[in-house]
Amino acid sequence: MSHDHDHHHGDHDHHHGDHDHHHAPPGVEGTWADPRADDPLSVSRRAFLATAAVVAGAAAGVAGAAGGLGQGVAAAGGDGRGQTTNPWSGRSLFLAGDHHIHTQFSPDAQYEVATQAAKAREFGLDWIVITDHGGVAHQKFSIDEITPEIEAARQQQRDLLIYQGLEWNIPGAEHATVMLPPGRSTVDILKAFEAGYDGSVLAANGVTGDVEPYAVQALEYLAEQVRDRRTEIALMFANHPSRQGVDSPHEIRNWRDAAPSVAVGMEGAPGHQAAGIPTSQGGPGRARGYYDRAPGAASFPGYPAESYRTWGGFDWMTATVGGLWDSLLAEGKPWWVTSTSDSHQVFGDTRIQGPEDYDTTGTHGDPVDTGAPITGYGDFWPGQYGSTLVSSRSRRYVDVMRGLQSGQVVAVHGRLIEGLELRVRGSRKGDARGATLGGRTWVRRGGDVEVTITVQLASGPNASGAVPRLATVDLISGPVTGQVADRDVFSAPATTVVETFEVSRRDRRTATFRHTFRDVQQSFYVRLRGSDGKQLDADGNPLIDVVGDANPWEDLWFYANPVFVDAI
Amino acid sequence: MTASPTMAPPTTVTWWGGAPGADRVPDVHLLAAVDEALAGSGAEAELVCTHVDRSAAAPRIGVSLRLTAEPADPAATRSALARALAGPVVAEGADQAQVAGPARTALLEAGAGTAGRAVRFPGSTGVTGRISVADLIATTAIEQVVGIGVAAAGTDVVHTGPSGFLRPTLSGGQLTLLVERSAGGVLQPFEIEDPHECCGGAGH
Repeated sequence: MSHDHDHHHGDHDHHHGDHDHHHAPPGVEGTWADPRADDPLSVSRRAFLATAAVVAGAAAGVAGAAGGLGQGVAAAGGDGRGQTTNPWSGRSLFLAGDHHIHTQFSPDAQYEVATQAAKAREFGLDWIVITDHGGVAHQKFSIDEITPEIEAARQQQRDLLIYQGLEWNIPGAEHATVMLPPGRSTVDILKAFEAGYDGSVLAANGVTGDVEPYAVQALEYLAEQVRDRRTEIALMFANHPSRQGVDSPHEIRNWRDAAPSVAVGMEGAPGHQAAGIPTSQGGPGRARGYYDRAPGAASFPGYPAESYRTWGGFDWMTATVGGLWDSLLAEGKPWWVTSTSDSHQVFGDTRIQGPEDYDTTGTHGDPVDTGAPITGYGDFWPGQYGSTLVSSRSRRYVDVMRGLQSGQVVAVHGRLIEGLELRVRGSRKGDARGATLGGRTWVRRGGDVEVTITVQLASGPNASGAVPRLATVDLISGPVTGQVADRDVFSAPATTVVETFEVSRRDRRTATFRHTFRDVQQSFYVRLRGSDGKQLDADGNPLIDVVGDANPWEDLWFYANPVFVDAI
Repeated sequence: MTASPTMAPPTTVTWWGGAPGADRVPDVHLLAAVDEALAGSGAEAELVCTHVDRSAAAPRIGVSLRLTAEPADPAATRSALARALAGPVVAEGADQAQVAGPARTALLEAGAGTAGRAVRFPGSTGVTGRISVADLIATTAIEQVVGIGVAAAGTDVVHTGPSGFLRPTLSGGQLTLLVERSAGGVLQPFEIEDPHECCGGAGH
């Protein structure tokens, strides 16, 4: 497909002369100008010179190059024991965050970085990622302009980690968060990445046709930056993956397998969660998440119509038991889900975009206050509604990203829960300590696996003023069946809800549940979701969100990432 | 669902397929180009569908036309249509095997009723605002109404908006309108005229 942000016109000069390296000491190895580093010129050349046919041929061998995390094969170690990742500790530090936030440096957004950061703190977030849209003007102007603003906001908000990132137009697909920790090469990497691989920039340079291979190259480029130690870590999350049906199953698998340490997940729930508030309640009356499209030419033809809508506020890929997400997990490979705000223009806010010309300056300037609440805006502030809880070793930039990378993540709406201790262990003939969220544990065939779930319930009201009440927790499980023959598969029919736990009204701070899988013969995974119980079908599944009539506060869910169990 | 009398094609069905240039693809441009080319030919395009051709690495749009009659001068009309669409046009018949790509895909899918998105269909201009499912089937070429996440009964009301925006699709030989629930207890077409535009419409 070609989904681009063509906001910019005119100047196609990639290697422009603007080398204002206030962010990086001069002469540092690995800067934009350093030919020994990532060689952005060659990145640009690829963009300029490659024909679609040449690139397609060059990328044909990509699929077999996966390495690192998540090979999906239950391998016993030399001592006959299995392997454990994310070992259970019982002492999780959950930090709430949001990896998808826009500012006045996006063509369709408006707030100062400082405003978004202050709101994030107000709503209890510990970390945020600034992700303005990629594009020619953004690459040329906005990155340099926003960098000092992010640095200033870090000084103002000492308790908030503020990552500099990008909302990347994935060539041939949807948008994605790209995030890096602060470092001397962060800005250079972002600039080179955007110049070489942003779908909108590529289109502006005349690169069209089958551009899917550029997405794979882009992720390999980020993985190279980690290997070359220009950054400690780099992560990518696919945003609003089902909105237009353009993230096909094989593309998602290609991203994951090309750079498994970088491409680690997707928005389980998109932002724009206020968009479905009915006009009768003073809301925009649009589709929740702005998921209101029908299939188009670039859409994957296999996706059904219902995939284009949210379900209980979550993307169909995540909300469907035995659906696309489960089909990825059934391969035994990591793929994590998150929840974000995608905050552009906030429901009920009084401000409009500033007057500067974005295409020629890379910013709208500061927003203008109209003095009157604007009901047509469909977004929440960062943390106001959705959050991504990450179990992290510390409040440090790289550690939070390691938590995201390793799947120690829970996607939450409306403060439905505040934390989750998940322990999955081989309670008989296995790994007695076990693993937690995003991890991997093992059991010998015929042994038992015990799942212990302790949910931290909301200790106060959410931003609607009500204290949310968790009603049910579903334990979902499916067999790990290994690599798929058809990379466009998007169902895992053997994945089911194995037990639904009712949360007692007597539970105050925490609620604990247990389930034991006995006589385990096959590798499998477990994951959790929970609901306020207000909008369920007969099987306990979320309902499709009604366009123009979806009050998000009356339909709260959380989704927790899986633990894999190897049967050896 | 009862069969709709208006879908019944003329006794001699005349299907044409085209491969419009990219700037002709938006619905309004497509219809304007078709009508201009057919003006004075003795034929009108009563059913116009867009199709997605996936025979190349990147998808392309094709268009199928069901004409009300054989044009008086088919060759001249075909040339005029090809100029108007800025792409090749193929008529149903012997020459279609020689044409690959979007025009052929459009012709094949429309003829078989397997796929295609109707931007014009018999009865489409008469619909605006609220109409019952039964009336929609009775007064237009739409043969069935299928609910997404909801069952659509004949008495249910579909709110088609002030301009009556309807884009039914060919599926299983039937012109099918997908609908979903919307505010106020009515249904609305699954494809709407004004979906949210990210980046203020500058994108996609």
